[in-house]
Formats: sequence, structure tokens, C-alpha cells
Amino acid sequence: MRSKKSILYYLCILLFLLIAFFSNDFNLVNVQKTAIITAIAIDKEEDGFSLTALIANPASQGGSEGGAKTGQTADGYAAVQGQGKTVAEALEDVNAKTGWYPKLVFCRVLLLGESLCSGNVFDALDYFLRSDYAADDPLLAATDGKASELLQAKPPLKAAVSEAIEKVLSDQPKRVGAVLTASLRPFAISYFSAGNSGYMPLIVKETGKDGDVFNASKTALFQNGRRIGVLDEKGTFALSCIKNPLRLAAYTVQSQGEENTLLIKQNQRKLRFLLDGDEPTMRINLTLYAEWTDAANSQPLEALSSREKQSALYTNAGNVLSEQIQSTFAYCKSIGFDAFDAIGKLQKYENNHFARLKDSLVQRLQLQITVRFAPVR
Amino acid sequence: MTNNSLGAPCLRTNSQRITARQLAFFTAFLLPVGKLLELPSLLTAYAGGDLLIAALLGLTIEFIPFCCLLFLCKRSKTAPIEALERRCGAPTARIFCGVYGLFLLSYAVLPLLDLEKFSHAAFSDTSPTFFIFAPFFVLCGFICTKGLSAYGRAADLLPVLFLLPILGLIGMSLSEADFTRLLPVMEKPLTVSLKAVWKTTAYFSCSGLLLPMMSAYQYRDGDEKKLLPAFGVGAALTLLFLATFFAVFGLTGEKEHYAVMKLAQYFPALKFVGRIDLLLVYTLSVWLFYYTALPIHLFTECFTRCFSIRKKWMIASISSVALLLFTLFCNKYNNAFHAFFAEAMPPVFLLFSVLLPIAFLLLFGRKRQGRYENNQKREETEVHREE
Repeated sequence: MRSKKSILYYLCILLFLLIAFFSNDFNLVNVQKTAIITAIAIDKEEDGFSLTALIANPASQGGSEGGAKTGQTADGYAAVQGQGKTVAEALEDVNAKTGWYPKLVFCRVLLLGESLCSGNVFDALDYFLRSDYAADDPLLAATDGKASELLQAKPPLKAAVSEAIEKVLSDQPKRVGAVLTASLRPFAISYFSAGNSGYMPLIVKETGKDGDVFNASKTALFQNGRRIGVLDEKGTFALSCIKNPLRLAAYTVQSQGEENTLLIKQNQRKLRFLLDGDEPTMRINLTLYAEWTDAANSQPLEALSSREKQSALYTNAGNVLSEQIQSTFAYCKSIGFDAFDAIGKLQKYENNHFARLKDSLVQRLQLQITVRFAPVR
Repeated sequence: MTNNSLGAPCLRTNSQRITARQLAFFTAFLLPVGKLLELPSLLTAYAGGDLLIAALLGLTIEFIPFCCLLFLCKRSKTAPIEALERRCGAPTARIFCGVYGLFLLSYAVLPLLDLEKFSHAAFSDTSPTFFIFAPFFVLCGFICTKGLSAYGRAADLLPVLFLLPILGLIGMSLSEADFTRLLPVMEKPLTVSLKAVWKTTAYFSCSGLLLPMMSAYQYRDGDEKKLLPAFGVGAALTLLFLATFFAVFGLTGEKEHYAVMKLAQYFPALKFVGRIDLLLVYTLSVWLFYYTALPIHLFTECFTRCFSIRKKWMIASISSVALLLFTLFCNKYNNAFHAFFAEAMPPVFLLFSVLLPIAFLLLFGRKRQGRYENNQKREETEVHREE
């Protein structure tokens, strides 16, 4: 600053900017006047998308908004439906119907209906990847039938549907191998990778006396964004043992004529992709550290410390799990699903053969697996 | 603004110098800041998994003119623009400053538009009004009234206030990073990486900032031992950041704008304690503000010299207000500007930030002798006496 006038000029500019700056709302949110989307269900319709948003609004406890097709769920939540040619347009329809223009950054659950999964799910998911105002890592789940029906469920204990679903899809069931959870980012990465294979839990509503509960122990398999198959509970657990680190996972197996449960405390996974000529092989070494935690019938004290009995149990458990993994692998192979990201490994480590083998790799892939249960030291 | 030994206006006064240490910090830690916002997503879009190869090529293209400028300072014992003035006369130097100022103004466009979008995304959950960003121009105007040595003093803070947040963010993202996603190396032909560098030339033109910046720097023997490794540190940090970005996002990184803001958001503990990683992002934002103001500052210096204007605050105020209005009315054409800078501007950026430093070295890189050397010795003696 060289003169007094310059200070004056700067003060004028500063004053103008301060007036402009303080004339906005600073993005402060009045909780009573805003709404937050906590879950979204998307179904494909003939002429576009049907999007159902579960909206939390402290002021909405009285009932639904006029004109909008809404379904009241837990206190303070409303399921509002919108239609559009694109997901963005359907969301705008929800906004226009409610007038709330709810925030999307807190949306933690995306449910994809059967109709949507029969085509490319990224027709709908692209919006969430692109939008700067949506959380880009919500939990994903596929549904049988219409996804919007799940948001009308009435969970026990008056919990919000989104919270109940989020619990089922959380890290805890993932750690025990009950659910193969998926969120948008890793699912999208696998979709855009060489293998184009991905998975997400298949969630179903089970109606009981106390209310609706959710089960996500089956897994929907996707190829090129399209649902091509479903793994049952055993398949889900088998794939979990390879894909995810397990903690305190219960594994029940029959040995010497009775059911026994092993508590898996840790699983060590070693996957190696081998290419011998044109013969690709996936070699898997799986070691599960587990303790014998329960049996169907009460055991005498000697049995609990009997090395022979435990050894037989552990060996049998290893064999059974190995068979489960092999049958899961065979099923995936039969539908063309790249269960162990073999195409990605071919691209990374044997790139010279990638162009030649990528299309036939899943069909040609052989599995060499060693499963071993070991007692916890 | 003072006159130099030949009587022409000079960008540098004896009390407004940048030391080699400050220039080293500046090169190592401030120049990479411009590569943290849009460059990762652009390189992913253009080069896919070979983004590191593209970045390596881009950094090499930056390194060559950097070496040229350093070597020029070493050989001629004077700053590039002063060397031009001595050889071709003051009018030529003034015209050069005017033209170079226009280049710097165009250089400022992309960082400015990126910063505006970034600040809206980082500081707000929804789309706020433009005026949330407007105070930046007050800061920018203020910075522009200062000498170039202000950047030197700010650079002394960089080792802590840049390294801590950037390494913190990278560390927090490691739990979700899968570095095998970068394999195979060189999957695509080299032409793909070269094309990626061509389209992102605007982000690999930091040497264009150093040419006028060097006017505030006085070479001393052995400075290259500080400055060359400093460039290496900056390049290594850039590559580490890009590698981590691709390891976290893979090919979906193409859709992830403002990488620095999103890199650490999957850190497991954030689910429980909230987005504390944004504290690190906000610390980096300070340097983003400084980096964005730098070309505007250098433009002010060049125009002040070109028109021999002694009231620098006037140029600073006019340029700040003009850029405020430009951002206000043109931010909606962000994509068009990005496309324009990717398609039409690379030759301009290459000319000013690569070819010009090389030409300066070839034309003025001979050792000085006679009267000029004596003048220089006199200047150096004065500096020593002041210190």
C-alpha cells in the first residue's frame, strides 16, 4: 500500500465483499426445516426409473405431504417415490413433490430392484458416482422383486428401515462370513476392471410376529453390471473365507455323527495365479485358526481335550469347507463369473497373454485348493 | 520497485530476495500443490493405469526448463529477465514482461476455476453461493501488493504445513489402497501417455512460474545441490500422491474430482469420529490459495514492470476484481475451459514454460564478463553487507 487512498479503496472492496459474504446462509441447516435421505430403492420401469427415497424429517411426524406418493414408516421417516427417465430426474421428482430438496450425502443404503439388475445396474449407479453431493460409498444390496417394497417394511423396536438394513449389511455380519457386503466404490472398481465381475448381498424381507426382519445371507453375482446368478448361504460363506478377513465366525460341521461348531478366529488366505502354457490355475491356500466351541450334545471333559477327536473334527471341517469352495467355484465358472478376479490377475501379472486368454479364462481356469483348520495357539 | 544497475526498473530489491533454501522449499512443496485437485482424475481419464508414466513424462518436461533456468542463473549470475534486459535493452524486456504477464494470466485460469469448485465441494455439503469464495480475491489482492519475497517467507512454513497434511492424508488412505491396481506398467502404448501429458500441459508448466520468480533469487555457488534434489522431492511427492489416488479409486478415479478431498474419506475411524481428515484438507487449502494467487502475483509484477507503474496496488486491485468477475460469470463454463486448455492451449504452455527457458539458456547462458560482472559483484557485496 503506497497511499491513504489505496487503503480506502481496499476498505470499500472489503466492505462490498463482506456484505455479499454475510448475505448468504453459510450453509447452516435448520434441522426442523430440512430433510435427509437415508436410503434409496431404485426399480427400472418401462419408461425410466422409479426411485423411492426414505427421507428422515424431524417435522414430518404428522403424515405425508400432499400430492406426493408417500408411505409412512418409522416415526420421522417417509418413503417418497419419484419417476424419471434418469435417476437424477427421478430424484428431482422426489424433490419437487416434497419441496424439501433433501440432502443426499447421508444416504448410506442403495437397494436395487430385480428389474434394474436384469439390465446394467450402472444405468442407475453412475449418478451416485458422478454427483459431488452424494456419498460415493453407500452400501449396496439387490432385491428379489421391487426394491421399493423393502422400504415399506416395519422393523421391530420401531427402528428406521434404513438403520435395520444398514445393520444387516454392516461390517459385523461381514466379519463372521454371513454376508458378502459391497459398497458402491469397490463394486464400481470391479465393474470397470478387466474382469467386469462384482457381487452384492441379496436382501430379502422376512415377516415375523414382531415385525419385518431382513436377511442378506445370499449373494447376487454380477457380470458387466447385470445380475447373472445367486450364491446360497453356504456359497456366501465359502467365498467370504477367501475374500474377507474373518473374525469369530461360527462354522458348524458334522463329525463322528454329530454337529460341532468351530469358532474361526482368523483366516490366512494366499491366492496365486499360475499360467502353465495356456492352462491357468488359481492356487489357494487357506488356513483357518479356530477353536472347538460347541457341539450338539454335551461333551464329557475328556472329550474336550481329546486330541484325536479334535484332530478328526478339524480335518473333517477342512475337507467340507474345501468341497464347499470347490462347488461354489464350479457354480461361478458355469455362469461365467470371475469369482477370484483371475482376469484381473492375468492382466496384472501375465499381461503378454491377456488379450489372447481373457475371454476364455474363466472357463479354462482350474482350482487347486488346500484348506486347513488349525487350533488356536 | 527499484532500478537495477543499468537504470531499468527491477523486480528485485536487495531486501526482497528469495534464498536458495526458500526456493528449494517452494519447488519441493508449493509447486506440487497445483497437481492435487484435478490432475489425478484427468490423468486417469486420459492414461488409465499408466497415469504414473504420464506424470513421469510431465515432470520430466518440467524438470528440463527448471534445469535450464538454474543453469542460466549459475552461468550468467543474473536472473533471466535481467539477462534479457542487459542483452536486448529495457524496451524489449518491458515488452517481454507484458506478453509474459498475459501468459501468466491465462495460467491462472484453470487453478482459479478448480479452486472455486473445490472450495464449494470441500467446505459445503450443498451448492453454496459464489460469494463464499469471493474473499479469496481480497487475499489474492493483498498478496499481489507484496514482494516476491513474501512467497519465500511463506515457503519456510511449507515443510511442516504441507508435508504433515499430505502425508497424513496418504497415510489415512492406505487401508483402502491396492497398489497392484497400477499393474501392469506400460500396458498402453507410450503415445497414450504422451497424449495425456499433452492434454494436461497446463498442469505441468510450473517452470513457467519460475522464470519471473527467479528475478527475486540470487544464485550462489552450490545452490544447485539444494534445488535439484528439491525438485526431486516435489516430483516424488506428486508421484506418491497419484499412485495412492489410483490405488484407492482405480479406473473410477476418472469421476473423482478434487482428489485431495476424497483420498482419505474411507479411513475406517472416520465412520465414528466424522470427517476429521478435512482438517488436513483445510490446511492444504491454505497452500492451494497461495498457489492460485502466485500466477496473479507474478502477472502483477510483470505488468508493473512493463508499464513502469509504481503503484502496484492498482494492478493488484484491478486484476483481483477482474478475476472475481471472470470467476463469477465464467465458472459455469468450467468444462468448456478445461476442454479449451486441453485442446488449444498446450502449444502456448509449451512455448512459455519449456521452449522459452531453453531459449534463454542458449541465448544468455554465456559467462558474464567485464562491466556486467563488476556490477554484479557490487550488488552481491551490498547484499552481504546488508545481511
